[in-house]
Amino acid sequence: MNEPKYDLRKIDEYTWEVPKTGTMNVPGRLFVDEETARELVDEARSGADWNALDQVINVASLPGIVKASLGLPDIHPGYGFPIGGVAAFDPEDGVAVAGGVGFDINCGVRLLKTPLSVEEVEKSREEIASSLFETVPAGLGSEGEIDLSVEEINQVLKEGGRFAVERGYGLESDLEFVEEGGRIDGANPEDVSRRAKQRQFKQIGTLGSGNHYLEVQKVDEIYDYQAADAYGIDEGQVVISIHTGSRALGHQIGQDYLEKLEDASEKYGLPIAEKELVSAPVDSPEGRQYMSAVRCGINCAFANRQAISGLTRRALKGAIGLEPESVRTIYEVGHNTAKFETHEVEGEKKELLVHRKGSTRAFGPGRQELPSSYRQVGGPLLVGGTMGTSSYVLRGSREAMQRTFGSGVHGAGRAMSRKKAKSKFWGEDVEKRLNTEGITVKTHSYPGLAEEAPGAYKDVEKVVNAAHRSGLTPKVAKLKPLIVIKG
Amino acid sequence: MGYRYLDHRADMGLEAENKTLEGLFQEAAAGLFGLMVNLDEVRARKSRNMNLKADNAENLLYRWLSELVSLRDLHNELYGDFAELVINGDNSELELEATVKGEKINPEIHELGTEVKGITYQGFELAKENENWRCRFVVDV
Repeated sequence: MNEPKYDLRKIDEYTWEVPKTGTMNVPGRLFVDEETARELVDEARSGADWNALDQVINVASLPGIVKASLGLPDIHPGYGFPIGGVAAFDPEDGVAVAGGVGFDINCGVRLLKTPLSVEEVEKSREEIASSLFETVPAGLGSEGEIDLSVEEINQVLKEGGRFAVERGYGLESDLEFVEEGGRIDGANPEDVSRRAKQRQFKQIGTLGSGNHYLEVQKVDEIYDYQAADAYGIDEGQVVISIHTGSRALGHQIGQDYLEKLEDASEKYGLPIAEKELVSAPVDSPEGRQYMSAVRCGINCAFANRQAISGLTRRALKGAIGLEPESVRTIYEVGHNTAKFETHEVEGEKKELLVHRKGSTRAFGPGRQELPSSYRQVGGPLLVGGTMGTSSYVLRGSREAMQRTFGSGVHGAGRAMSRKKAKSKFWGEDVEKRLNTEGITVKTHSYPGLAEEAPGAYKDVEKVVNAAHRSGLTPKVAKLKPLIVIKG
Repeated sequence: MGYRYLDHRADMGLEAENKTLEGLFQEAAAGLFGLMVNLDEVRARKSRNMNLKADNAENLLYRWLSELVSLRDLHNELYGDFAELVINGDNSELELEATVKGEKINPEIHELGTEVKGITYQGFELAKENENWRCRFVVDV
């Protein structure tokens, strides 16, 4: 299909414009290298019924979208909205989009730093790995030690990370280094179904499964000493990444609101290009209710990662006697969110509703939302690799503020289907291979381990390098896994 | 007859087929839980009753699968027996009544797979072709 809508215009080496055609209200912008741009076009032209370029176009066709529908270097097809997709809407005539947040609301990464050296970890590698594996519940059916009533869940949804700190999980000072201070306003638990709350009773402080993980990593390389210094990251330091989200509560909110927003889309005459791209006007009862529910999900994920941070400290204390206070939070960022933020549009400051689906906030220097000690260099982005590969810390920039509403990449994206991965890899072999590379793996599910084999993912370095070279989110540090805990 | 898994870029696709609509729902449910556990290991120790309504078979299937995922978290159980299932009504008003059976999740006895987060609408299909009911769907893991 030689449709003009797929005729991308090259702006620079890492920026491509999708022309504004047909029903689009704004153009699309893709921040990818030439090879990825070609792949995206080829896939769309081949008529694939599920492709990221058409999703960028569909998002651009929603009312009230500002500037452009964006695709970041790790863009790939999602549900209605592309993963690695960003869209900002004018609160007056724009929409809140279900697919723009997805099922795993505020899934994200917490990065902790420890005073340990790699040698100290090597000495007690097995004790540390076992203690983390036993202390942090992971995998299908695992239950957390915090058993909550509906009333207490309501507190979680309002208080976020603070709830977990008050229950003794982690330090007060952690919250300063979490987006929104670990708690977003405007979350009314009444906008979340009883079912969603019931599903969450025992899931606070659990990792889940799939691509979620807890990793002990070493800081392998520093690229930006000024930013690394501000974040308190040193070469050779041992850090811990926690990747998880809002668990069953988020999933149920996602599911409940697909139906509600489908009704709203019909009521307000909004386009439904895919069933998951349903939406509601920001300025409508349905839109306000959805945003409130999303904020509840955001707070739930904050509480979850905070609780796991507390459990991680307990595990380290148990294994090697490490003082909990010596483990500090570097940062925590989500990558499935919709938030009201102020951005500059045509020279004027304007409040926008920014959706980031599989995209991390990448605020540049000077933004008040950042911890004061990071404000000069820009906020950290925590980009997860896969089990065998490195993770990265990037930083936000003025470039990102101007071009992507302060957004950046979140991870690698799959290259191989789970079915193929399971037939190609054996979980036990994956474990052995990682062991030979000096990585200890603890898992509750070998089939799950096969699905998450490093070979099943795209090359995270390629994504990170495109993100770096585009100038949007420069590299700060590379983190190499030592111990992996998987669900 | 039966179910099979399909290649899907990010998550997992499923396809099921059966002579009857009830049979199709049973196959789809087995396929769903087959992703999470070896079904042969799930004993019928707990029963959960379900009553669902929808205005067409496609929506009813979506609700059925979503409800099963919810029930799993609510009770921390896995299900492997979906034999007691009846669908009544015509195309504009369908009602499903079922008793699903399973047991508490126990890593000691269950070989666990990946947790399904939810059922997506991407490529969701249900149709009757050549005397057989068929469906396709993708789960978010």
